[in-house]
Amino acid sequence: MLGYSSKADLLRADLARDIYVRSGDRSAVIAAILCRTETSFQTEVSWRRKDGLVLDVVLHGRRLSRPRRGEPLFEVMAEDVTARRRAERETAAALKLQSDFVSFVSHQLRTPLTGIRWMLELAQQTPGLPEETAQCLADARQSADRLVGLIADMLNVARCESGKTRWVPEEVDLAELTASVMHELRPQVEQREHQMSFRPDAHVPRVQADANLLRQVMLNLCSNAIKYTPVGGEITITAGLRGAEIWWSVRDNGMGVPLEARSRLFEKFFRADNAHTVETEGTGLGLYWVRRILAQGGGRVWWQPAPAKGGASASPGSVFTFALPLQPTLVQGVAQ
Amino acid sequence: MSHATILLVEDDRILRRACETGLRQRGWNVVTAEDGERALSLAFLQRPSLILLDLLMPKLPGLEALRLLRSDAATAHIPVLILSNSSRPSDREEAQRLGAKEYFVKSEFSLQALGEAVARHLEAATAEETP
Repeated sequence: MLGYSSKADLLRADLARDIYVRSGDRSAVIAAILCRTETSFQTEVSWRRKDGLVLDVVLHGRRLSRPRRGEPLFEVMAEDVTARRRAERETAAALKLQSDFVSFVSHQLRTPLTGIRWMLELAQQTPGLPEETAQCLADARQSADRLVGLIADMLNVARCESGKTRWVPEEVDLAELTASVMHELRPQVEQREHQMSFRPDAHVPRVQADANLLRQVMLNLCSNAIKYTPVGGEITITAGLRGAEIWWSVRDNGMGVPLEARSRLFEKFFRADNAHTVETEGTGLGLYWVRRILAQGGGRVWWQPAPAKGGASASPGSVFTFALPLQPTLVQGVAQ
Repeated sequence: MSHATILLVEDDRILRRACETGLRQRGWNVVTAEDGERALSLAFLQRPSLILLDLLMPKLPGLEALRLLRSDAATAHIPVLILSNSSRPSDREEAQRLGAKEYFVKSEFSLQALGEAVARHLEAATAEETP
């Protein structure tokens, strides 16, 4: 692996100067070998080949005991992971490029978009507008609003994929968060003449979660319920303790999810066929982002069909549920 | 309150016009600046009751202008609301750290919502002044 022609040739090299690239690596390996309490170790180092090329190497060490001297010795296997690490670095770099590009473009797009929205708003205030003109302006404003959402979705996903989104837990009152989300969505709920209610369990403990991100998750799931349920529908939100987790669900009596779409619902860019009847264009990014963000917080999300109400043949609707652990799991002292 | 002067700092011509119109409709006086340098001189000269500040601007970036405004006794008390199209958390945090009262991502707010925010902050500022 190191390109030396023979064992003798290798032994002529100065380990510290020629082979180990970082001085700390060698000390770490020696310390691991000398450590009397561990029977195995695994550590990653950088080694320089005879021709100068640097390799990423994972050392797997196993203690052998030699009863004669009683001195433990290690058998060490060196695994060349250079190609793998390079691929990982390239992926990370590509994701960062994508994220930087999306960031840049999003900010550039937002300025003229704001211009359109604000000018439309002013135009709508003109007294004595003909009915048709008023409708044109309202439709234009709605299109502009959709653009705002699309840009936000793109930005969220790009940031999340490049690792820039941080899940910062704090104590969160789900009832409060839900109320705030329902308040924000009230205009849409009224516009579609839905009934939206919150029916939490008697006692819902506070949960450790990122309030901001969780709020966006709720907004996303509730917006979908509102959008994909025909006018005059019923949307119910519930929350409660299930074992060591908090479950939060939003249930609607809308169009549901067709059979072939169910396993792909949370895939990036995926949109179910029936979604097109509501909105011809859509990113298919919302649920993908929701699943990733919740995973970052140690949670998960899933879909179920709404339980049918006695003999109904049409789609009973959807239930989207997310679960969060009551306490974030601690792995090596770092909260997950 | 109708005698209040708002300093609007925004480098995009169309946004500046729209925002200025929206503010004037509510009865406030409005002075505008297209860049950070002009913003500072207008702030010192006019002593506005409130400043709406864009972040991405030529000559002097918004955050730097904010820092200078907050560090000078003559202008430090003037409430500053940030109008940006950056949703980068670092920008929002820095603005908050430097003392901005609120941070708006322009594309997500209507002129009406901004006007209401301005009214709220003007009222709060007046309440502070009255002994």
